[in-house]
Amino acid sequence: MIEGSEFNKLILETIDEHCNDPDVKTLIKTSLLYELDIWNRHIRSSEIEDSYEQMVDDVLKGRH
Amino acid sequence: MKYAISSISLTNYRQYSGTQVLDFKIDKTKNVSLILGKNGAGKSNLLNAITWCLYGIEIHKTKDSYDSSGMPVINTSALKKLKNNQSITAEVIIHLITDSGPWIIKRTLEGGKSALGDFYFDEASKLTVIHPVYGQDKIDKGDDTQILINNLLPEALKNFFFIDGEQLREFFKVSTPENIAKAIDIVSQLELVYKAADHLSKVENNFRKSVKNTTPQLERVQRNIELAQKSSEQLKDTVKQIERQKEKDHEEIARVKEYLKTHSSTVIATLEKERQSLETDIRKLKEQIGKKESQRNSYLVEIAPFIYLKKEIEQTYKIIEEKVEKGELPPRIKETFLKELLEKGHCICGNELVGNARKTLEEYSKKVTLSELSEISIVGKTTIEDIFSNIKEFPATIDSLNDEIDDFKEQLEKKERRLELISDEIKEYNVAEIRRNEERREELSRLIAKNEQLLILHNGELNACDVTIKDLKSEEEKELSKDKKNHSLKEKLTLVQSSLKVLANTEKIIKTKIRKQVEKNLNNNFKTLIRKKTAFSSISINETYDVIVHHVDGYNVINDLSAGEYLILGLSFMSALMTISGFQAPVIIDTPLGKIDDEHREYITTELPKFLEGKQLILLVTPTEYDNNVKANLNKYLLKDNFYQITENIDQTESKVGRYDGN
Repeated sequence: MIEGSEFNKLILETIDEHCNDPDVKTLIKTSLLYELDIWNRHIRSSEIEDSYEQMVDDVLKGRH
Repeated sequence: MKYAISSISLTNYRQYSGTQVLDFKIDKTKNVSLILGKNGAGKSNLLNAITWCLYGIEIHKTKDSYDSSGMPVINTSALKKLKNNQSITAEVIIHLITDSGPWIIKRTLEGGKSALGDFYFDEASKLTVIHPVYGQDKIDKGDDTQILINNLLPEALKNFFFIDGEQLREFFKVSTPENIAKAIDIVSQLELVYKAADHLSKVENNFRKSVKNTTPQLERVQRNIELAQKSSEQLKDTVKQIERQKEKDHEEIARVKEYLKTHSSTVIATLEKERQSLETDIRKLKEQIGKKESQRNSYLVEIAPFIYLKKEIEQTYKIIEEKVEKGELPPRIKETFLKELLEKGHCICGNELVGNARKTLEEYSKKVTLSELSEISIVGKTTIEDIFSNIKEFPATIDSLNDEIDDFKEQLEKKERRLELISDEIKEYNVAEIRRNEERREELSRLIAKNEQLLILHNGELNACDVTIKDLKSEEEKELSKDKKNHSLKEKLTLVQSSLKVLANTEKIIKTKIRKQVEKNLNNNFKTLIRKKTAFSSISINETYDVIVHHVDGYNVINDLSAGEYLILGLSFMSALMTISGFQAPVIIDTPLGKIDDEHREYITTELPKFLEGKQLILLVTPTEYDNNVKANLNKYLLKDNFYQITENIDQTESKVGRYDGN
């Protein structure tokens, strides 16, 4: 996916329209950006899972 | 990023020995480039060279036994000439002109002869990309270089831009709704959403395992979640396997049908055509029977209570009538209306309300206010009269519906009997290959039907499994709430689970939006490219991804199109996907005009370059395709410098590319 493409816009707009929880929005958007970043790169699954756990922690830290 | 190919250079690649270079001038109005070559001369390997250079994959494989997958990428003649301990490199270089400047993409594969005289090849090819970054050329090599190419055009989308003409013509002949859904899925680029959901699910499970203060109940719930998730995964795998098998069977049955339909024996071809038309009729009849049965059932559900309660309703009606006669129920007159008349002192006919008339009205007025129940009874009386009328009509209505259903069923039975007879006739034909194909067709039909039933069964189980998981997760949340030490874990799980729900919902919404957009673009493209503009009213892609080509007379003619119409439908669909994808890559079509009639050939060559205006269009054509009409049409869009021809050596083992010299 190319950044700024119509699809990115469509996906983000749909999430905005159908999700009221700001934390959920943040986690989804961060994870999609991360997926875009690692797209077609060979990253170890444990590294990916660590990054995701960190994303969840960061969102919850921001909440408290 | 918009880009065009300015040059392709091949060195020791497949049948191209030495170095062959094709330079293309980029012109906005003259957007067509042509490469002319006989069948087998190397046109498809030029297309392969492009996809190999970009993705390390060759998309076109020949169907005969001389399969290119068995041949090394490195030119075999050059390999043969090697002495021991010598090596050679196959290389494809593509030069691009992009919005941000020129790019060079190079892929190489090394091979050679060992000291013992055996041939060896590198396991993987090497990719190098030179591209402009802040005005400077940057050289990228190694694992992540492929990302750069995927940013130009993702590998998953390559088949929508680098097109095999034959596959395009066959696309809607053999395509199943699953193929259509898959193509739309690829172009929707929901891969990102799928991956995020997949990783979030894994993280959810990791969090679950990290619970600190567990109780026997929590342990049980979490174990059950794990078991249910495993069952769900297994079911998903089974469903995928069945779908893949169904897809393969569909493709094979389409090929068998095409074999019989185009057989040189007119008896067989006619029988197969009749069968295909009967199959369309049977599909329609089944739909009509379904609709009528549903109409009859709704009618029965609506009227059944009244029929069962006929006696009671009659009794109620009698009571109301008696009450009206005795004057215990007032006529259906509104209180406000009477009051108004009495106040004005005049009747609606204009007479003054005095004496007996006024007295009667005043009495009525008192009665009207007696009870709301009387008003309801009056309305009820009218309703009951309607019910009686409906009950009276019941036998005739139900008979008429049943007659229509029976009539459809009788037609269906006749057509199904005829189908059996056709199959018997084909199976008894005195050509072994025909008999074999017919038996295979029957076997495949049975397999497809069986797999469709299995899919219904497994999808039902999958839904039940999902409900169980959902319930177990709510139970888990309750258990986690019981101990404050699990608070942080509960928060994490809730956040991840809510995100997963939103992602699943997003996926559904986007898929529908994109299906609708593809349908819209497909209609526009088809209307532009099709010659018979008034014969087809529209094309729709329904929720189950069936493509329906609506004839003006209302029939779905998806199975009755000519080769040219199939090509245009395929082209319109690919083009719809191309537009939706947002990527602006060149379009390369191998053998776009084969097997189609002259009229369509001429129409396509007139319309296609206009249709793809502003996009580089490279056509790989055979001399048969490139007839005088095609030549005249394409000349308007073709620069002389962008016209190449492939020539073979006498043994037809080596090919060269040069500018077209008119011979």
